[in-house]
Amino acid sequence: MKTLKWSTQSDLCQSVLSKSGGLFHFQGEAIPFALSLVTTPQRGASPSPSSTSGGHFLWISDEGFLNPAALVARRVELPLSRLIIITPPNAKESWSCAIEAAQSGLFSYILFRPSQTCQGSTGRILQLASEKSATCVLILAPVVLPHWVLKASIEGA
Amino acid sequence: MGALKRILYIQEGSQPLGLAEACLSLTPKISYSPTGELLLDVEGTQKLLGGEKGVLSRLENIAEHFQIEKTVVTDRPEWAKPLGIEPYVVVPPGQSQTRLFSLKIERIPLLGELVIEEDEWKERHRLVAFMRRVGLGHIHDFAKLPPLAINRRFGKMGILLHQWSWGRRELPIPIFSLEEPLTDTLDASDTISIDALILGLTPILYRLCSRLEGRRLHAVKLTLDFRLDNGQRFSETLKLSDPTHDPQVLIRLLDEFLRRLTWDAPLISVALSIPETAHAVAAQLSLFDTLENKAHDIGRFLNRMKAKFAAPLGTPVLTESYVPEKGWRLAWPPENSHGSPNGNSHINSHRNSYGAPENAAPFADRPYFIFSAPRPIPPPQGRITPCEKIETQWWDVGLIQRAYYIVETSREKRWVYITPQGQWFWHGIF
Repeated sequence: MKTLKWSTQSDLCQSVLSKSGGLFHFQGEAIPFALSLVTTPQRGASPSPSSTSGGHFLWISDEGFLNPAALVARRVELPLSRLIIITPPNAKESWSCAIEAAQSGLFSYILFRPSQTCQGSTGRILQLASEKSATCVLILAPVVLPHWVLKASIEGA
Repeated sequence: MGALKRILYIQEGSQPLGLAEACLSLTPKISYSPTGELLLDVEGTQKLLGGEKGVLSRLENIAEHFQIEKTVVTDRPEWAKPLGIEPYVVVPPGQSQTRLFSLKIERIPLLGELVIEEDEWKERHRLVAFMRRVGLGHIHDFAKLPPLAINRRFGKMGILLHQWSWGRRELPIPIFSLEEPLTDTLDASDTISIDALILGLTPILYRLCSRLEGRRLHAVKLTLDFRLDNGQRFSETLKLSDPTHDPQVLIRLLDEFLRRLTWDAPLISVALSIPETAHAVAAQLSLFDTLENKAHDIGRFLNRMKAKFAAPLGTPVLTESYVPEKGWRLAWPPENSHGSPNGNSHINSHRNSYGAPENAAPFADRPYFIFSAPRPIPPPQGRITPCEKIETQWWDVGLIQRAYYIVETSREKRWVYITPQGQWFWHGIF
């Protein structure tokens, strides 16, 4: 697992994300940084939702939602029609939903904010599913995760 | 003799109307009789469906989930019933009359209409008994008699049957109209598990999907009405994000949907109905365009998620509201970015490329992440910057009065508000 600083190593973060799928844990409140990473087109990377290739963006969280008004107001390069929001009723179902989404292989990026952490086996299943389907799962929650399932942990300064 | 056609005669035991609807995918010319008999004129459509073999193959697929008792393929509808001496009879084109004439005289009363009145039925049988007594053994013996002799010996009924046997009378096939609601019921008194319930519902789903296919419709909503042993009844509705008439997809969705439900008494019956449908319009797909395929796959995925987790989902569509949790709604499939929510086209006629109303408040000071339920917190510590105040109108249900602040600490930047009662809530994160 790599540990990167998102405030000083943004190029490195982008290149890590551009490789084939996996779990990436963003420590601290790094939603703006995560959004900037996934909406920047990368050479050889999965199609960005902002490109014309039609990639979709999935947000899963049981405790809140990605504010569409803020995305529009701040001109984030992400058409709302390419963003799909799912709000499962609790943390356990949100992890199940993330696993199903990763297994489907339909989404280039999954932004995931569970309210609680998961069992080691669940994290491992999500890791394997994301790597098999080349889906980047960005976990944007201040939860403790088993480090062996993460491809990279990205921290604030 | 009138023009020859290709006619399918089908006798169905349990759901003839359902079968009639399903057969609309073979031909629009269907005649339905209350006795459970169908007449299909496939002369005009069999070329499109791959000939008579193609039609029969499709019928076999449809018939898998219905109880077909007899099938006859012949040239004229009035000859179909007497030719049905076995459960499955296919008479090659042009040979129906020869086959008919070779039948025994007892088959004559079945000539002509599908529904025959009781009195006329008795008269026909009396006539056939008389024909046997005078030495007529087969229909050919009767048909070769001159009309004058028939009139003198057998009367008007004899003339009628003579004309039917020679094809000189046309049997009109009235157009079948769809009036029945799409519904079916399962007797679930022996069902002890969800798996058994799904197994019982599977043939029902197949029948309903055949009917949908016949009507050229997709299911948008499924409703299940449960009746329990203790007299209770309740209904549950499953709304599909991606309308379909594929029975396999519906079975999977129902499986996940039913596993979320509970009831506290043994089940007596379940009625499955499709109250809402949409026209099945085939999309124009380019060989190299994967966008529509992907949208279809995502629709199916969302259907599954909705059935499994009962979670609100879709793409966000901004609305005209400054209350953070009401400023958007979820929709699937994605709405046109130039569409207008709530039909207020005069307000939202101008939108930017992101789908936001151009005259809407910018909300640039609002955070990226907002909690679904604001969390009560003690008075915040750190650098506090006033942000905005919102207050709903007096006529709105659930008056909202909030003064928002941005609270910055060493670790994060929070969006909090205070109510007039002095209670602080944490609502979002930047």
